[in-house]
Amino acid sequence: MAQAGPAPERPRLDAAVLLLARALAALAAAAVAALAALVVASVVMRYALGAPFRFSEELAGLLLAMAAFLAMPLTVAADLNIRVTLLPDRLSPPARRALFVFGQLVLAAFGTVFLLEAWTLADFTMARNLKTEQARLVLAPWMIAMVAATALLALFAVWRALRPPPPPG
Amino acid sequence: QTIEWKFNNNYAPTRPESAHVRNFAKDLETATSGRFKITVLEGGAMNLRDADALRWMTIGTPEIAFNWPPFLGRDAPELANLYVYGSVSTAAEHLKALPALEQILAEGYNKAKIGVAGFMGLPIIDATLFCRQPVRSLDELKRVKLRVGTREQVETFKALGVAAQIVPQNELYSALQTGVVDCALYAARFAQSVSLHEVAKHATYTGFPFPPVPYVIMVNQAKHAALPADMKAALAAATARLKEASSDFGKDAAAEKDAREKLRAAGVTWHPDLAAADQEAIRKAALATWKTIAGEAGAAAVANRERILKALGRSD
Amino acid sequence: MVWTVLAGLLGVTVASGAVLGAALGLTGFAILHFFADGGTQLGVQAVWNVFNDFTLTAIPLFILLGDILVVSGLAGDVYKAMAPVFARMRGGLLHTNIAVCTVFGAVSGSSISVAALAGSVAYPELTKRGYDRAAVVGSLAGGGTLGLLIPPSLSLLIYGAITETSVGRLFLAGVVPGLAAAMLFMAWIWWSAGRNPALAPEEAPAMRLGRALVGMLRIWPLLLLIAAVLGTLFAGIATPTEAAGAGVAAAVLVGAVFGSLTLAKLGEALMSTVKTFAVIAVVFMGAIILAQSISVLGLPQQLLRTVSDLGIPPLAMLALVVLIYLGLGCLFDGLSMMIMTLPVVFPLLTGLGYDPVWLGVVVTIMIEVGMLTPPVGMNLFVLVGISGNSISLGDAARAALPYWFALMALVAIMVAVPGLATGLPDLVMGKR
Ligand code: NA
Ligand code: NA
Repeated sequence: MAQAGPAPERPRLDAAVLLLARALAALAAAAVAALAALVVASVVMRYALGAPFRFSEELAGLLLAMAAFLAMPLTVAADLNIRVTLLPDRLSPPARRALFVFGQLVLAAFGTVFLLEAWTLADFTMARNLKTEQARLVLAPWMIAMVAATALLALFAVWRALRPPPPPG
Repeated sequence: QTIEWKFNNNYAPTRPESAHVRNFAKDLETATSGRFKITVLEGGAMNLRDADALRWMTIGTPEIAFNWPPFLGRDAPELANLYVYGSVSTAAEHLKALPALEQILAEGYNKAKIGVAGFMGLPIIDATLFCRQPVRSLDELKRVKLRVGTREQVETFKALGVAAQIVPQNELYSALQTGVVDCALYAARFAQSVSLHEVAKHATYTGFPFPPVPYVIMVNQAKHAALPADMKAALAAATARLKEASSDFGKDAAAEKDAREKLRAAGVTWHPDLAAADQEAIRKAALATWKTIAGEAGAAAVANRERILKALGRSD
Repeated sequence: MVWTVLAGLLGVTVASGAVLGAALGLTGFAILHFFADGGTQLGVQAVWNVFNDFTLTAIPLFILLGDILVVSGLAGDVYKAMAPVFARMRGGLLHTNIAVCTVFGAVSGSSISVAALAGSVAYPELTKRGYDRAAVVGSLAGGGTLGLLIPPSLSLLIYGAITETSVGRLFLAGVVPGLAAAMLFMAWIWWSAGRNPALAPEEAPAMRLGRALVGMLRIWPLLLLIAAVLGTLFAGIATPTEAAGAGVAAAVLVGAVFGSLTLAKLGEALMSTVKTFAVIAVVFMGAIILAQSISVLGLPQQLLRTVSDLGIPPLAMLALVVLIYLGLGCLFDGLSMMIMTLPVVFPLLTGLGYDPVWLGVVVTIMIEVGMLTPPVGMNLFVLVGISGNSISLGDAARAALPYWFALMALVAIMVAVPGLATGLPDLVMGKR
């Protein structure tokens, strides 16, 4: 996969951002591995032993959510996201830069609204100590992971805005 | 001026509940000479899940909706397990508990800052085992894999020695078709709507209905408070008529018989109901589950369960 | 008013080159905030719900399955074995994309999963062999649509539940149109590669066809894998979602025994999977929020109700509904569009005499068409994500256009020959 990272202006901060993003993505990878193992184990439990897990469906869902959210900061840090660059590709470098900053602000604003509402949900979850319906898994840590991941998404968006835009595609 | 509200209905347009809601909307509009219009969005078109009702109902869009409390297992377990499958078996039993049920529900939804305009009756709907092969007793059920809809059903059947599990609704058809599960606990009245009869040709009634907890007609508190007094009264009157129209338990036996006939015509074999001893075993297991689940859900759930047991004239 | 705000915001944010998911999501948030009582929370809840959906676990699992085949070298071996045979055919290995999608369409109920699986194997291998990126992506995006047409099918299941139509009939009804679509897709590949051989520059080897066919026996580890996935499904061991997990387990085994899979390479495959999945998740997140904002306002239903009052003849009404699906299909992901529209479309069109089973297949095709239409086209997102952005969304959409036309042609054919859908169910289950 192409890693067209931004040119380093403050190399240590850039390295730290990438390191954090990669560490979270590694956690997400662990979640995918756990997800695969869980699905296989639950098939075996039901078919071979006639004793289905009662928590597999809910836990699988939570692992899926973690796989999605925890890897998101890396998509920003390493410029992996899908963009429509028809217009920016046709602009002069300064105009492209301005438009890029605007685009990053869109991402930061989106991340901020998302994290605030995710926090509302996490708060609701914690206040009532909510658990999943069947397996009674405590939900708060998973919700907080979503808040943290989207907070990083917004922060990284701002950090990325201060760096040069990716080259025309 | 004209008041326009959106009514969220997550049920398919073909369900009897949906017909009741459409009638309610028409009734209210007529009663207010068109000044109170309700647009019903059915079939889950608003993309709001029943399990999240306590969250979206405080926002303001939609203004009104109905909700079946057992779906609130995550957000309000003390309201979700007012009954379990096996708590009551007849309409007569259920009617004894109904006033207590409604009172608990109104208090509970209000505590979550949601208005309760009234209730819509849930019919007595028999819970039937639909199976790939004939399953006529608990003993035979112990040899196969059973799909149930809720966690308390899992616990009840597990206590009886049955391998019960929840399979998502979207995978039920394929799971029965290929034999991932052998049986599903389902309602004869709704079986045809999910084509259950095509993949499970043997039916045995378990002796118990699904928990007949009524549907709550929820309203957004702020939007309700902003209604003029006459519109509030019209809404209350229309909701009362909705409850009356939907709570005719006398029709349930005929509806069940009709559903069975239709399934029989579609190739389903009906076996005799589970024997009395099996039914007693289910009731006992269910009562124990009810107690366990209420205990897990906390003090409020325990108190609610006791109020209902008292209304039923039972102790445990 | 809402539509104006929607078009304006979406236009500005998307055109600015902002991360597409953020552009879609921020627009959705704005609509929820200004038109739905400040209900931005609904958008986040919808995302959480979808990301927690067990049936969607098949998406990362299928991507992982493909990545494992690639890192273990099995995918390379398999394509090398198939190349001498397919090189004799215009379009070469592009045809295998459609074949793989057809086979896995019989395993998975969703088109995103099928596109993800076929894409994660075929994209790296075929581009390495010099195939045109756009042609590869187009064939995979198109092929992915077979996931919903060939049973099992999530969209036909949901259609059945909302409309009380027999799921058995619906599943059977999807088979012939699904195979017809596959043939149309292959015909396009054949024709376009004939016009421009650079799309599929497979060199015909000197070996005889007989030897080439014998060489193809080397794909048997792949056949083993397919057998494992199909086997667990049809033997009733696993549900369609679980079959994806069984596929991963089989891929690990086959990759370790017959390929060069090591623990380090497995880790590499996992990292590659989460990168692809996260890119898809970001844009999916925005699409979900946008769809939530529109569905909670009931806008599609409003539009359709207006149309249904027009009182025009059945064929014109069908054409109009198809046109509305084309428009909505630009902005919405498949299943949400179906759930939003069916409560009006189903009674409207069956009331005009259209067969419910036939309609289920037509609506499914229209949903697939939407998955190929930008700016919100899930199959396109999946493939752009898999390509690591080495192809732009616009190019992917252009490459998928012929497949879009093929699906529209299929709808036209089904209008002329309704038996294409209803024939098989009538044959197997009897006439109703
Ligand atoms: Na399929
Ligand atoms: Na689209």
